[in-house]
Amino acid sequence: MNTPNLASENPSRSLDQLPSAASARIIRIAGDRAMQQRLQMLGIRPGVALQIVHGPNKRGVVIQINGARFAIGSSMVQKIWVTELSA
Amino acid sequence: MSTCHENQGKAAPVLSEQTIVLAGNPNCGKTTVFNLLTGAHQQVGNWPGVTVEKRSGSLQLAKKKVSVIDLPGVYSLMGGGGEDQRVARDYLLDTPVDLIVNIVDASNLERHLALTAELLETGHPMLLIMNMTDEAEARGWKLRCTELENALGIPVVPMVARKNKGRDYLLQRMIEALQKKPQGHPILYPAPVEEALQTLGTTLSGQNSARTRMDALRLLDGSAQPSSDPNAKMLKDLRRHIELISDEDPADLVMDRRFSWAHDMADIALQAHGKAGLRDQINHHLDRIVLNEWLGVPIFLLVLYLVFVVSFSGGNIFLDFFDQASAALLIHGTGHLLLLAGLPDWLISVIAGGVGGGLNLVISFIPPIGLTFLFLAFLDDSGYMARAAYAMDRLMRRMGLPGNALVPMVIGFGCNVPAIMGARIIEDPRGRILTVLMQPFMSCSARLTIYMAFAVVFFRSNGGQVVFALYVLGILVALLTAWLLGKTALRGEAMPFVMELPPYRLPSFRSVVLQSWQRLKVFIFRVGKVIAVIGLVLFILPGIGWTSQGLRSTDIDHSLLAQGSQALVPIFAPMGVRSDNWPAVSGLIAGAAAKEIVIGTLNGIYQRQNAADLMADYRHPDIIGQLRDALLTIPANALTFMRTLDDPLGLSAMTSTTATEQASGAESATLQAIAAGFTPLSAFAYLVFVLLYVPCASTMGALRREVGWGWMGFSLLYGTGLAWGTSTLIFQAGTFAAHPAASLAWIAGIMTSFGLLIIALRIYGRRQDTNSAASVKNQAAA
Ligand SMILES: Nc1nc2c(ncn2[C@@H]2O[C@H](COP(=O)(O)OP(=O)(O)O)[C@@H](O)[C@H]2O)c(=O)[nH]1
Ligand SMILES: [Mg+2]
Repeated sequence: MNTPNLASENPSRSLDQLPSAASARIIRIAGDRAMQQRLQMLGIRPGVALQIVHGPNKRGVVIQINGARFAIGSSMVQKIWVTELSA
Repeated sequence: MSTCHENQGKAAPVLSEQTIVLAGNPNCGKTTVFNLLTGAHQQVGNWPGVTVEKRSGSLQLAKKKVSVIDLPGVYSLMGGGGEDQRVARDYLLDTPVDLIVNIVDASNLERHLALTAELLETGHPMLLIMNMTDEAEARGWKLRCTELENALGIPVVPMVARKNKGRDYLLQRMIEALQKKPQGHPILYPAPVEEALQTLGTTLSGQNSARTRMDALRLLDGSAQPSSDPNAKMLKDLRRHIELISDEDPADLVMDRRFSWAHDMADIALQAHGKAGLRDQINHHLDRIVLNEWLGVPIFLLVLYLVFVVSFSGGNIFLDFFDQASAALLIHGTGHLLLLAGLPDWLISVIAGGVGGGLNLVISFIPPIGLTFLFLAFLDDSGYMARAAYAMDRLMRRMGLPGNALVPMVIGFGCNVPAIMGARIIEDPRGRILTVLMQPFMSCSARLTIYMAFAVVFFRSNGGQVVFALYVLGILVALLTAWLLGKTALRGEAMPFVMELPPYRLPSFRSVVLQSWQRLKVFIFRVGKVIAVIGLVLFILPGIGWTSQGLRSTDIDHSLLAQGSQALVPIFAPMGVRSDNWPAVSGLIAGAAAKEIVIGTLNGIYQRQNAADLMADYRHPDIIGQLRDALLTIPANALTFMRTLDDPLGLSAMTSTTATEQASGAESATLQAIAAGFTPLSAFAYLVFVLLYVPCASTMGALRREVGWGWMGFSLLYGTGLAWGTSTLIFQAGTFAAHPAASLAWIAGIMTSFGLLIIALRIYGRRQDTNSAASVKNQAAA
């Protein structure tokens, strides 16, 4: 796991505000319970580190968590709050 | 430890066949392992009551037959998934299972092991397959299977399923596991959670402890709702208690425990020893192209266009062979044999001409449909489909549809039946119903034969445009239908898009072929049954009629078919069908069963009117000659295919009469009769009706299976009503000058009915909304 103090340095923002190719850690997922559960079962949950591999753009964003890639549509992207991890 | 006391509970076990269940995340290689184990010994069906595909098969293990079940791929058993998840959960918890074979992707181990944690909690004996070890190694990981085996307490088998690597070792460990029943070490949650689970368990009446524990867990994390008010209160108290002690949400506690367990196990199992290689690079670059903001949609359309062209034009290479060869054997050969056996002529006609002829129709459609299934299985396994869905999502969402709804629509150009079954790729039920209801309007290849026959008579110079217009009309009606229903009866939004993009993989040939063969088999049997029966009916109806002496065999003009059609002609009068043109109505009746037989029916009627000797073919059949000719169509058609790659609909053929006649399968007598019975306007109106009304009996069967009787009935009435309304609008608008008052009345009537339909759908939608709102409120109150 990365050092936790980075989280306090960078403010949290929604996933669509990250620059492309950024790394970030998920802080919070807004939205209804069913959607949270869906994301959680995919391993997209608070605390995990992710890397942006495509986007963000109007369509959404493609992220990588460990070995897996996920496409997240634009309506969901705004509900995932992260802090950027400096490379 | 022996198995005997376990068997006592079951009712008279017939040598109690043991059951192995394959479970894992989507794309872990489950189907590949399943095919590896069962080979050709497998069936594809449906899980009872739902449209989730069920694969089962059998395997010889230590000289005993063992049955193998391929569960749908799921990420979790708890909640957040669709029907797939419920099927998997219910099966694992409520059925006797002798061994769970849990397959995980070694290159993405941590995520996959989260499901393993849940599976261990079911209490069944278990074995773990670390699949895709080739990919893990390419990523720079070294596997430590023995260490993982010790930590989990269940056998761990490394495999490369696609290359058949590790099968023998797997079989050996499975035999062992069936005897020793290793149950591993299920995880324990923090003490307050475990206590809450105990307490909740007392309110539940699960059949076994695993069921009770799972239900308690699902209550605690909010995936399930408590059954009664006192229980709800108790649950609330328990939750608050846990939050108080541990300062965390119980659902998060459970999840954290499971994921940290998976993290620890992955740490034990994998040792980094190199750096990521070529594979990740390839993935990355492919994704940059495929997911590109500008290229994504065009690439998808191109891929679908290729699937369409290759399946249907490529299928045409073999279509004539299948058609003619099966006609030689099933119709002429069978007829000849029955004749030799001394059966009466009428019986021979019924069996060879009716049933044989019907089967012949199904068989000729095997090549295009088989090829479609093949390509789709390939695309599915390659990892592209998820990307295509993402690329199309924004566009389709405007219509209230999820991105992957476009895939079935394109398949629908070939045949509506696999298109409707293809809608299963859509997870959210609302999107799936909408997509399924769109399919009947996609103009399938069977309808094309009818367009061709009419185009050659009436639209000689602009046939291509007319046919193209019909295709476009179909697409527009489909999209409008989805949009309309989405705004009225099925209100809601397409679920936000979240999907795993599996790595690009080269699908295994064996897996793709087996998978599409299984689907084709289901198609042939289901459709075959329907068409054989219909062929029979269509063969009898034109031959018998109601006379003063009762039901007798008559000439065709006095047959039941003629009488029935004549009775229906007035209904079709507003769209331009004249009263003497009853064969046109017969064609529509036959077309409700299968569009392939419309032209055949018309042929049959005119041939009978000319009293051809039907038995001649059976007396001296030249079967060898016919088979040879059939074989020769393959190279001939292959040449045509090469020449017409840019013209998948074969529209250019329409400039030549003979080519189009051939393509439509209509005899020149039929074409002349069509020319006499229609005007260009009424012909076009007729074609619009053909496009929009009931596609065929098989499509209706598929609709019923996928969305139930209610929506099937709606689709039938809506489609037929819309077909009649649109055709009448076209004809009345076109002939407006001749009878303005009548036309105006028809047009106004149709518009009003359509308006009423929209209102009715709205009311239905409102009622659904209040119903679901009420149930949500109930749940919230509980
Ligand atoms: N590299 C590699 N690919 C595999 C392996 N096993 C399966 N695949 C591929 O992974 C993809 C998904 O496999 P499939 O059996 O359809 O997965 P399912 O979704 O779990 O049924 C296919 O393209 C397979 O050919 C393996 O051991 N190594
Ligand atoms: Mg599969």
